[in-house]
Amino acid sequence: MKTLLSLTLSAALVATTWAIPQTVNTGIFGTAGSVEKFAGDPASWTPSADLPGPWSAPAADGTRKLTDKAVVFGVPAAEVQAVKSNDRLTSLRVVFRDSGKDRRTLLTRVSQGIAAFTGHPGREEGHDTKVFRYEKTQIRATPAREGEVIVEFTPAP
Amino acid sequence: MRRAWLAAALVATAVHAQEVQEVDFTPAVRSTEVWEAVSSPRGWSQPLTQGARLFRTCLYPVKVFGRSVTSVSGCFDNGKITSLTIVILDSGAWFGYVPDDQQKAVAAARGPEFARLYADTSAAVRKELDALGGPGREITLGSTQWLRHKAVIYQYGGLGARLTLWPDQLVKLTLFRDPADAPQLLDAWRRAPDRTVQARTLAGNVHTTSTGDKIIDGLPVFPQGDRAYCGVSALAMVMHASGLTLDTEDFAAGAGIRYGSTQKSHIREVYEAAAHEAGMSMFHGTRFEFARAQQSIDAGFPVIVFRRWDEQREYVHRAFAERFAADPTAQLPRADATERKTWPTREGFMHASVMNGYNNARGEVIFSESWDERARNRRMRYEEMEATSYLVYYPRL
Repeated sequence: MKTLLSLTLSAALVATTWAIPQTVNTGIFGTAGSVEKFAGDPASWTPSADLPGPWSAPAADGTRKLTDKAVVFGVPAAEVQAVKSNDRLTSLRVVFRDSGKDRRTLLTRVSQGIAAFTGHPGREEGHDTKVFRYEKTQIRATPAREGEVIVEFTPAP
Repeated sequence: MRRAWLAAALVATAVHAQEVQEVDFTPAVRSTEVWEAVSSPRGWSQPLTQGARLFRTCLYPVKVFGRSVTSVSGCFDNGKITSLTIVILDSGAWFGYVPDDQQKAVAAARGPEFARLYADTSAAVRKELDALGGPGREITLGSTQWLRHKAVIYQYGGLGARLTLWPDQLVKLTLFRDPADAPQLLDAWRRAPDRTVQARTLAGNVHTTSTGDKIIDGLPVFPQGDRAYCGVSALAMVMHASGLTLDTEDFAAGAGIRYGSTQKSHIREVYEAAAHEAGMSMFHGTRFEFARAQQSIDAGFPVIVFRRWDEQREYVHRAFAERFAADPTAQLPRADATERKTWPTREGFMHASVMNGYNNARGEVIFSESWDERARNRRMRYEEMEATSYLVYYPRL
C-alpha cells in the first residue's frame, strides 16, 4: 500500500514540470568554473600575464572590478576584484552575497564548491575561515558581513 | 571531386569556427560514396568513452536539400559510419524550452505557424527522396500505443533510408549503410535470436578502470539542447546502448511533448513502451538502490535516475569529476549532516540523468547528462543519489 502510494505520488510529480533545458553559459568568465581555473593556473600570477575579461579601469590602489557576471564555485558572484601590483596579479577577490532564498549557509555552499574543485577538504583557520590549496594557488574562504562570504585567491606561500 | 569538397567543407568550418557556415550534407543523403569523407573526425564530437561502436554529434550547422536542419548524429562502427540521423524539423527545437504554464499561450500564438512548416517540410523532403529512390514504401514502426508511428522506407545509392514523420511534430531522416536496417527498430545484433549472446554482448561493454571504476563503454550522449527533453534524451541514450534505434525526438513525439513543454506528456508510458519495443523489461521504483544499480551496470545496462537537481550541486559533481581525473586521491566529502543539508530537496528542479558506472570501494555513482561530452562520467556519493532521486529505471533483458 505504501509502495502504491509512493508510486502514485511519483506519478503526480512526474506529471508536473520535470525537465530542465540544457544550460550553456557564455562569456569569458560567464562559463561556470573559469574564474577558478584562471586563478588556479600558475601562469596567471606571473609578471605581465594577461587578465582576460572586461574589467573596470584600475582604482587608485590598483584594484579592478570584473564588469561581467561570473559564477564561481557554482555560486553566482556579487563581485570579482583583481588586485595588481607592479604589473603582476597579486590577488583575486570574489564576494558572494546570500540571496536569502537558500536554507543552506553561504559559507557551506561556497566551501563545498571549493572542495570539489580542489578535490580535498580545506583546513580550518581561526573562526570560520577555511583555507584550500589548488596546485600553487591558495584559496581562502571567510565569512564577512552578515550574508556575505569572501573568497581570496593568492599565490600559495 | 564531390567527396573532396565535402571533406574540405567540414575542415573549413572547423578552422574558421567564428564564421561557421552550414555544411551541405545533401551528397551524403544521396549516396554512401561520400560517407568516408563525411566521417572526418574534426566535424564530430569526440566521445570520451571507448568501444567499437560510438555515437557522435555533428558539431557544425548542416543543411540538407537546401534546408537548415536541427541536428545530425552518426553511429560509427570502428570509425566507419553505419548510420546517420538527420533531424530536419523538431517541435521541441523549434519552440525551445517552454515552461508548462506558458504552453497554452505558445500553442495558440505559434502553433499554426509550426503546423504549416511541418506540412511544407515533410512534403518537400518526401518529394526529394521520391526523386532519389522512387516512391518509398510506407510502413508502421513500433507495436505499442505510444511509439507506433509511420515511416517511409527508401533504398538507393547503396543505402537504406527511413523517413520518420510524426504529424505536427517531427521530420527525421535516418540513413543506414545496410538497407536491411532501415525498416527495423532493433539493431542487427539485437535481432539475432540468441538472447544469451545479446546479454553477453552487453556485459562485454563493462570494464573496470585502474581506480576501481566499473563503467559501461560506448554510452551515447545525445545533447538535449534548449528543449524539455532530459527524460526522453536519457531514454534514447540508454535505448541506443541497448540496440533500439529510436531517438530522443521519437520519444518526445510519442510522449506528446508539444509546443516545447512537458505539460500533460506521457513520459512514464513511453518508458514502458520503449522497453517493450526493445524486448526488455524496465523495472522501476521510487528509490535509488545502489546494490540493484550495480547489478544493472554489471550486466551492461545503464540506469535512468530522475532526481532533484540544482546548479550548485551540478558544479560540485562536475568539478569533482574533473579533479578526480587528474588526481585519483581526490575525495568527495563524506555524507555527514552538514553535507546532506546542501543536497537538493523538493524545491529543486526535476531532472533525468543516466548512471553508467560506479565505484563500490569509494561509494560513488558515475553518471552522465544529456548535454554534451563534458557532461559524461560525473561523480556523486551514492547516498546523495539515494536522497535526491524519486524515480529510477533499471532496464534488463
